Amino acid sequence: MVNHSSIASLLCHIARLTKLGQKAPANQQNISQPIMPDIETQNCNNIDHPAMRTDQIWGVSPVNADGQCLIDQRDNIIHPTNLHKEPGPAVSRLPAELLSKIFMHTLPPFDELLPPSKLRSPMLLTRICRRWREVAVGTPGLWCRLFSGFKSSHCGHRKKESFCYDTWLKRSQGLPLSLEIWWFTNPLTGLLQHYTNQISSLRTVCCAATRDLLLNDLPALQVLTIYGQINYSPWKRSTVTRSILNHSFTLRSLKVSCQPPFYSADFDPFKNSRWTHLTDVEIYVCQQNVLVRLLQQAPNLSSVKISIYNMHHEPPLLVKHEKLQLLHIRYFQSLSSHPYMLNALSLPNLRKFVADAGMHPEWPHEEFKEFLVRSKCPLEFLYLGGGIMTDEKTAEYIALIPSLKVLPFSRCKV
Amino acid sequence: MVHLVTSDNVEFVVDKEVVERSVLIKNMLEDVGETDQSIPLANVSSAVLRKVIEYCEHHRGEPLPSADADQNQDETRKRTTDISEWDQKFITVDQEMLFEIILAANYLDIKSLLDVGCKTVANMIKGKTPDEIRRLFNIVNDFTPEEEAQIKKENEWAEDR
Repeated sequence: MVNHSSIASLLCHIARLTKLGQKAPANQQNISQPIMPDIETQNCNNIDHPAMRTDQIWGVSPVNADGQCLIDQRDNIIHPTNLHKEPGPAVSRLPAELLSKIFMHTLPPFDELLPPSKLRSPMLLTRICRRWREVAVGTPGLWCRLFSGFKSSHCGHRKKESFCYDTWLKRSQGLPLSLEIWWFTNPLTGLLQHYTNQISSLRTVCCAATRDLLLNDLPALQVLTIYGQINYSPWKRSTVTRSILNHSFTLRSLKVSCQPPFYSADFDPFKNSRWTHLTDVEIYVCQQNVLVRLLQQAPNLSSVKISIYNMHHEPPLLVKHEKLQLLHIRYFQSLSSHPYMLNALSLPNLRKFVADAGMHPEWPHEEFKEFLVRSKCPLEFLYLGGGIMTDEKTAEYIALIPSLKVLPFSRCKV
Repeated sequence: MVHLVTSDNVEFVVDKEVVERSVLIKNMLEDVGETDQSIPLANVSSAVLRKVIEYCEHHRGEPLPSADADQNQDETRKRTTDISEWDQKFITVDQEMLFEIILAANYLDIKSLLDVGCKTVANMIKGKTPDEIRRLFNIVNDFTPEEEAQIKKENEWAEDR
């Protein structure tokens, strides 16, 4: 049990909450604040049991009674339970803060960046009524994701479109931006100059505009995904790759699904750069030793999905990587004939291994067993494709790691 | 057991574990300790509190979301609008009650219930035209012609689908 002063203190706390309402929206606060805050404060501060309302305490003065009347009036404005007695739509009773929270849930799924549409959030929300527009425009989180596909080559249209993108991005009010950009030329690159400090996620196609954008200082960039074809010219390929290198210190996720490969014989992005924060990589490369190089330069990697075209390069000496949990290798030449990569790796934290053999069903069984023994990893799932798995081999792997589940590649979801 | 008194003066006696899904009440009880005193909930009617308690009963024992979950903008954005089957059935109420539940969940600081309410309203909005939304929520289009023109200008470049 507690003493009376504690209960009184509790009741005071409740009364304050009751009077002040919960996190009323800015416009309601503006209405409520001028109405008698001093009298209420005075009542709470001047008595020992401040929870008691003026009509409950001893010797109510007429001034206090008037004050109470005003407080009650204010309560009637703020209290949600009283608000439902007011005319108007039920939704209008929600404070701006809650409407804003609802609006956030109307956005498409996080990884789905769709072209802006009048019929989708957030633009849809600005077209309902003044209040919804005010709340939507004042909710920066709604404007942090933008898909921009350049629609017209007409100069006048470009200006109009640029103005509209700018309007959208301004509403993000400095929050980190996720952008998906499908420009093959760079008429709008200049627009993004004002927002380079905000760009935290960029999904784009490989082109001169991308290169120019990546040559900027993008201090917040953490996620970079590049689709499409890198130009076959080695010079152009390496300029794009070099522009990616500018961001090796900040990137957490790098996915370059371009063909021909991101990595080329004449330029090795993982040779001299340190990828300290990188945890997630998905790339096409020429040589299998790139994986080994990557693991050396990115100590925090937890997931690698790598497609290797050429198996003929011998990797350097053994590399032990403590954090890698998922390794997905897709190879286009026989891994069995050139198992250097498996021989070079020790992955003590590996939990999922996927090998997609494509047209080369041979599998370096003995080397893989040695790799498992060497790594002493808690491997849970092994997905092998291309008909490389037999019951005999499966039994041998399970003998090494009894908890291991060996599954066909078709059941792999990575 | 905890005694709660609603705005229409109805008293509820609720198991402490259930009522502590409300962070507001949990904090109060932690500050004050065990008490037989009733806690007045002047912002919540009995009909709404009954629903809130039904929700808390069903989710009794589940871990509470972390206090800073909402601060994390990324987490907010990543959250889906999926609602579990039981929650969906629970929240299938008329609009009056739906918004009262949202307000009560916000006041009592029951994050998971607030999320269910907000997601439900969000799902009602998605896929509808402005006219359909106005009709659904009984909202009046109060834009001036100038505002309409501004909106049209802003939206000119956007897709119609």
